[in-house]
Amino acid sequence: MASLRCTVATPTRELFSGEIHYASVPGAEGSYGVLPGHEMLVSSDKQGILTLWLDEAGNTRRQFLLYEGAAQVYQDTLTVLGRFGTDLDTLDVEVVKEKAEALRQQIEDLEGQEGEQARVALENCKNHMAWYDLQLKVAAEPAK
Amino acid sequence: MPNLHDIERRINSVASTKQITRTMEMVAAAKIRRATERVTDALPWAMAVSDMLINAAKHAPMDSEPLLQVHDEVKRALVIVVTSDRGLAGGFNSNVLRHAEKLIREKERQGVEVEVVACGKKALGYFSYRNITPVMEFQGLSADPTYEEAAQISAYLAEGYRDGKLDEAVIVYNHAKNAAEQRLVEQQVLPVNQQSYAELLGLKPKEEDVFAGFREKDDTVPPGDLDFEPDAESVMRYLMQAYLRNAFYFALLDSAAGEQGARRNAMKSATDNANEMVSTLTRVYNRVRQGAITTEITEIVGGAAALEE
Repeated sequence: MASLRCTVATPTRELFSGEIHYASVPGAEGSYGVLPGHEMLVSSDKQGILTLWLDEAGNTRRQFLLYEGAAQVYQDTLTVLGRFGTDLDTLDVEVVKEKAEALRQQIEDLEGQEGEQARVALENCKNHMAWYDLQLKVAAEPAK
Repeated sequence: MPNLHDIERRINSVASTKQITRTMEMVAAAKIRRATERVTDALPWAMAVSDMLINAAKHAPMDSEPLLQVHDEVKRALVIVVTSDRGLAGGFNSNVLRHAEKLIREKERQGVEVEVVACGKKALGYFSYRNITPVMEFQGLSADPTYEEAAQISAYLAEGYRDGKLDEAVIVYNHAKNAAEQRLVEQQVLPVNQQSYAELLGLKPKEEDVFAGFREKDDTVPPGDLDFEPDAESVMRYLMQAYLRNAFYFALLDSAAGEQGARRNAMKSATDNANEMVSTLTRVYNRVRQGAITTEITEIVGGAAALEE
């Protein structure tokens, strides 16, 4: 069966690059599947788990948790971008908890401050906190 | 004529300064590698956003995206100045700051109100001294820029531009042309310039200008249809936001790499100068020592001769 080329990236690093046979992408209005020969598509994504089938039967899979992003299918190339993203296999709950705690402190500090910069920074931190919460929520769920 | 002890002390002082500059040179060289890696890590995302914009531009109706509109009149501009937190990098900061101040004064003369975003302690100090209060300031991040910093600047700009409070945004920074050379760049971020960021980064050749479709209203659409989910407007909105963040993030990364390059150059020159000074001082030291010995011998010979008489 034909395959399609896939790249998964966040702004600071590439999470995956290689050939896949099927992908389940978390779209803005629910997940959708992508097979080779899929029509051309650009979508903005919300949050969720991206599943990639590395073989035809789906025995070898890679799963990535993504938060806010976009995806494109263009000439048998799938590109999935996430504002934040991580490989589910390497998700370390303790590290996320530590980071979330530090960020919570930062949010508390920012809430007491006035000014345009503090407002924008606070919004940004809350966004980041939502990402940590999502990771913790997914890690707490039983594996599918 | 300085005495031997003074010269010796001076040689030791220059030699220890040389050790510091040599170490700083090596540290900067290592940091250039780290900065280059950071750019490499960020490239897949940047290229993907650029690709998506190119493809979407050919199929989407663009009139509804506020960030792609050009305001009739420029009344208020945002100038983002990217410098380093620390000095000892030659003319790295002064070039950017002088250019930025000239740009700000020029815009003010044209009746444009200017807001400044200062990235780096040097920029903050420079503008505070000139009674210019930045609307946003970032310190301690110049060597290790974060995407969050770029996201905050772009959020402020996007909001202002959408609401009509800002009409133009320009970023001034040093582009690391290679490890040894930096080039001052004044890049117009909004309204979107002829020169897209992909071009500036060398990601795309000039003819593949991302926004050519919007400006020239090309009616020829490539074969096949491109679907948007949920709709073209929200997709373009997201992509434009990503474009803005990328423009700032790459400027910050580029400047960080340039800073280390400039520091390495400056420290290499300082080390070379110190070497030269040590050899000159050693020559003087030897000459003075030889002179002292000659004087002593002359005195001894003279004294012996006087005794004989």
